[in-house]
Amino acid sequence: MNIILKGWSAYTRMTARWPGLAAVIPFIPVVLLWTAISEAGVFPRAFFPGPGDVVRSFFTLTYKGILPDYLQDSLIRLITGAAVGMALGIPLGILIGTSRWAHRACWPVLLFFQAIGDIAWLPILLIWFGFGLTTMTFVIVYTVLFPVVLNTVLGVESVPRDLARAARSLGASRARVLWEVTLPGALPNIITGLRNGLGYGWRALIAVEIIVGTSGIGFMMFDARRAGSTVEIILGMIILGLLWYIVDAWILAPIERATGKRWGLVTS
Amino acid sequence: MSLASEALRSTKGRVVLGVVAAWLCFQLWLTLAAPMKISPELKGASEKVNIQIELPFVPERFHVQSFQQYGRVAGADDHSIALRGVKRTDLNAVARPYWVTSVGPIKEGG
Repeated sequence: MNIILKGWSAYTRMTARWPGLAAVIPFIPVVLLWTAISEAGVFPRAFFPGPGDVVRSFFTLTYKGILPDYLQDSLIRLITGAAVGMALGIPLGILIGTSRWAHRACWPVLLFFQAIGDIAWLPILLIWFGFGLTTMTFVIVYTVLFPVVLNTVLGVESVPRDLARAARSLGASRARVLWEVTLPGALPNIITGLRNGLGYGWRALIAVEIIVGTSGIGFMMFDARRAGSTVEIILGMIILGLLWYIVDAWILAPIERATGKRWGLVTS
Repeated sequence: MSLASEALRSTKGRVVLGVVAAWLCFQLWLTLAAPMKISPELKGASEKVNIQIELPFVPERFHVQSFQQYGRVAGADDHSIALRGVKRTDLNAVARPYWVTSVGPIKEGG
């Protein structure tokens, strides 16, 4: 019991000093278990490669230029889709949140289309646009759009109306109230919507690349099944998880902290 | 404090900016190195050339497909891909990837 307490205390001190370790340490038992199972030969190596094989595959694919190229393609698609999704979603969310008329007109349509999953659009998109970038971008925009719109509406509606009334009574124009009261108040929800939207968009992108792609991480993973290369499939899965962790923990979460939390709008 | 200055103050922000800077430097190096990989034997007045792209490994489908946008792939052997009808203006783009060792004239019957 004493050893466990000492170990826990050392872990707490270490992660307090180097917070990055807190994200790495939980993976150590997973990798050790994975290594033990693959080394024990419980499953054939071709079906269940070890971490060493995956690392070797990473270097080989990078050396041959395949992995960086596919990764770049996936990231460009996600960034394009996310940018378009945000550009459409945030203004639409603000419009629905601030205008009762727009809310009545758009809300049922929004909920209707939200129920139609992104992948459900693929058959008709393939007929319209074929196997290309337009189809992929459409799916990502569609996936990103709903979390952004719904969270923006929630954010706008959660801003206390008294704040807007107070600003108006002090002579602020509608545009100024929107810019200095409504938008900052809704920002934590907008960022949350963006985090969710990007997460869903990332998953949708991989699904779309598997079905219609000719490049990208999803395509690499699906193409690897043709050669029976489980090692490339596992490598693709690890890259997906790792990349998303970096984007969320290193970019999106700090933005959320730097905006909503600093202004006291998010307390946890 | 602005978002940019806050990003500069945090370790994660500095790492992200460092990675972006390294990537930009790498892209710059690729752009500068590309003309040096092109053989002087390819100099001439014709609009299009037939070229042989040397790689340090056996080309895979990905590499063949990458070059299809610049010309007709005439064949591939152990460490090279032959490409016909490539515009001179595209030579730098062909030589740009870091996995291309050199670009020279096609070896007829080789």
